[in-house]
Amino acid sequence: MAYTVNGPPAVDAPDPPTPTRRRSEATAGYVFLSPWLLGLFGITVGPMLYSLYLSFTDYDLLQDPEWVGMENYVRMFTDDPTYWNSVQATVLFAVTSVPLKLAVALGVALLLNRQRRGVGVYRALYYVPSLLGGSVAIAIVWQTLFGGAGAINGLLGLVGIGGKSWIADPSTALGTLVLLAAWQFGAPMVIFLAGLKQIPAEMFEAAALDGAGRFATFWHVTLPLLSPVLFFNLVLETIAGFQGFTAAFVISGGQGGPADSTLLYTLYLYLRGFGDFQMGYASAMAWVFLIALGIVTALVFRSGSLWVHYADDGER
Amino acid sequence: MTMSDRPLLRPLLAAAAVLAVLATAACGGGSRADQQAAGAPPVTDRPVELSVAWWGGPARAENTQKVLDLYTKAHPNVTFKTQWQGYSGYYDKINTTAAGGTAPDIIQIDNRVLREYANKKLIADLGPWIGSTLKVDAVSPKLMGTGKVDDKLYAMPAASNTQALAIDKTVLEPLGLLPPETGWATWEEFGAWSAKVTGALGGKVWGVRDESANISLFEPWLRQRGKQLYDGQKPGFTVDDVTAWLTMWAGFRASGAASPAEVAQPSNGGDIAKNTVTAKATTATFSYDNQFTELSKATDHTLLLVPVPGPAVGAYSRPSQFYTAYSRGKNVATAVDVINFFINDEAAGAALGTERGLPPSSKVGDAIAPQFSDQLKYVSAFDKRIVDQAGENPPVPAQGDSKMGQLLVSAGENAGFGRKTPQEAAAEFVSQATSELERAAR
Repeated sequence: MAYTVNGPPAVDAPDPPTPTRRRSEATAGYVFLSPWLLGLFGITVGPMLYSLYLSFTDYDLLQDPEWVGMENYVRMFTDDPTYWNSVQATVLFAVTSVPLKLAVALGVALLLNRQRRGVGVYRALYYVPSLLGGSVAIAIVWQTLFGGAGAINGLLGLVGIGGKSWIADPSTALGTLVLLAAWQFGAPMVIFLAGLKQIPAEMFEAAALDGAGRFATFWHVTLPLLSPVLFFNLVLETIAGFQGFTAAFVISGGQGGPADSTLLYTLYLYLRGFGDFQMGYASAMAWVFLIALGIVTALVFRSGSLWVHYADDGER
Repeated sequence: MTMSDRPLLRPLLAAAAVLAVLATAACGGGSRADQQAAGAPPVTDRPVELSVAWWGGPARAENTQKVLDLYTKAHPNVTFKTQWQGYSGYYDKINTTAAGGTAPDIIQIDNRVLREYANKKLIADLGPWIGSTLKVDAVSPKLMGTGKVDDKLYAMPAASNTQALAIDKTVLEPLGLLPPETGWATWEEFGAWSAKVTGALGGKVWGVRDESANISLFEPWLRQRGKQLYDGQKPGFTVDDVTAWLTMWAGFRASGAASPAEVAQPSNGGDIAKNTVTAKATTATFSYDNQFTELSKATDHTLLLVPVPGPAVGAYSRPSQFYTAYSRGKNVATAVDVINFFINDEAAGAALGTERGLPPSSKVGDAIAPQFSDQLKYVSAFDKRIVDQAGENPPVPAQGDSKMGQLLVSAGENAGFGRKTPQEAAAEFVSQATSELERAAR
C-alpha cells in the first residue's frame, strides 16, 4: 500500500515496481494467506451461510431441512417464553460480569504496576486463573465450592452465617457464574498493565507538582490516558460476556437451571439444536444473536467518541 | 497523520471485534449411506469395533463391561469402545454424535426418546433380525410391546422396573417412623408422616425431597387421578391437574414435609449421583426400584423400597431401558447380536443382576434367580408385589417426551422457589408442553 502509481518514487526506493512484479507479489501474498483464507471460507463463512439457510428451515439434524420461511424467527419473538428468559439471563450476566471483571483487572493492574520486589511473580500468579478459568475442571470446582456442603458455606459458617446451596438457588446461581467470570481477569489485566506502562512519567510528575492527590491523579491523568485500552478491553469482554457458555453448561448440569436462571443464550441455543433436534430454530437464534451482538458492539464503539481519549487527537 | 501506535488501535480493535462476533454462528451435519442389509447375519470372523453408550453409575458401568468382556471372549474379533455418563445431558450427547453421523453402535435409551428416535430413523428397525439373530421367545409380549413404534420393534427392552420411593431405614428405624411395607394409602397421610420425620430430625434433614419437578413421580400421581401423561401427541392432563400437583408440594414444603426447593434442585436433572437420600439430606426420595442397587452402593445406610403413596394403579411395569442399534452404525447386524447376548445369555444375565431392572427374559430370570444376593432378591420381590397390583401400561410416550420432563422441571422450580404461583407455573407448563409436542411431531 505504500507505493502509489503516479507518486514520486521514494528517495531510497529500489527499482520502481513493474505491473508484472506487482502481480507476482500479489500472488505470493495470497499463497501465504491461503491457510487462513481456506480456514475462513471452509470453517467459518461456509458454515455460516449454511446456518443462515437453515434458519429458514425446519431441520432435525437427521432428515433433510424443510423450508418454513420466517417461522423460526416469528416463533422466537412471539411464542417461546423460555427464549426471553434466556435473553434476560444473558443480558444480566453480561452487564454484571463485564464491569466487575474490568474493575478487578484494572485494580490489580494498578497494584502490580508499582515497582516492588517480586512483582513479576505476582503478575504471573494473578494471570494463572485466566489460563485455567475457561476450563470444565474449574467450573466443576466452582460447582463444589458454592454447593450446599461447599467451602464457601464452611467459611460462612465460621462467622456464624447459615449457608445454602448458592448454585441451586435461582436468585444466586447466576451470581456464582459472574464471580467465576470476574475471577478470570488475567487477560484484560495484562493489557491494562501494558497501557499503564505507556503513560509518560512526566504526566504524573506534572500532576504531583500541581498538588493532585492520588484519586485526582487516577481520575484526571491515569484514566483518560488509559481510556483507549479500557475501550479495547470493554469491547472484547462485552463480546465474550455475551457468549458465555462453558461455566453455565457445567455448573447447571447442562440444563440452565435452577428455574432457567443460568440459561444463557448460547446454552439455550445448544439445547434447542442438539437436545430438541431443532437445528433450524437454533440457527435462527444464532443469527438473531449475531445481529444483536453486532448492534451492541456498534453501540460500544459509538460511545467511545464520548469518553475515549486518544493522546494525538489534537493533531488531526 | 503521525505513526503513533495509538490510532492503530482502532482498525485493530475493529478487526478483533468482527472476528469475535463471527465466531458465533457455525453448525453442520453429515450423512453416510446405509448399505447394510437388514436381517443379515452378524459379522464375527473379522475385526469389528462397536461403540456402546449408556447412562448410569459406577455399578452399571462395572457389570456392563463384564458382559461386553464375555462377548469378546466368545467372539475375539468383536471389541468394544464404551462411553457412559449421568442421565442429565446424555441425550444431548447422543443427538450431537448422531448429527455428525457417528452415534454409538449400541445405544441405551429409555422410552422418553423412543418414538422420536424411531420416527427420525436414528435407530434401526430390529424386526428383520427377530428369530434369526434376535431371540425374543422368552420375553413377555407385553414387555416387547413397549419397544414397538407403529407395530415395529425398534428397541429391545433391557429390563423392567417400577416406580417406588427409596427410604433410609438407618435413620427412620430409631425414630420409630418406619413406614408400613405397603406404603401410604393417600398423599395426605404421606405428607403427615414426612412432616413428622422432619420434626423428629430437628428440621435439618427432611422427610422427603421436593419431587414437584419430577415427571417420573408426576406420572403415577396423574394415573391415580385417572389421567395419563399423554393423549396421543397432546398432554393428557389439564392446567388444573398440574396446579393441584404443584400446590400439593407447596403444602408439603410449607409444613416441613418436603425439603426446600434448593435442596431438591441439584438432582432435578435426574443424576443418581446427586440423590438426596444417599446424600443424607432427606429420608425419602423417588426412585425406580432397580436403582436400589446403585443407591445402596452409594451409602453406608440401609435403604428400603416403599410403594408410591396413593392407590396402587399409579405404578406400572415399565421398560427401564432399551438397547437399540444405531441405524447407520458400523455393523448393525453384529450390534443386534450383542443386544441379543445382553438379553438371552445366562452368564450376561448373571453379570447384570437387577441393576438395570428385572431381566426381560423369563428363562434368564429363572436361571439366575438362585444366584441372586439378598439385595437382588429383595428388589425382585418388591417389583413382583407392585406389578401384581399395578395399572395398565400407558402407550409409548409422545414424541418430545424428554422436553416434557424439562418443562416440568422449569415449572416445578419456578413454583418451588416462589418465582411463580402454582397456577401461573401450571398454565405456562401446559401451554408450552402443548406447543412443543405439536412441533416435535412434525
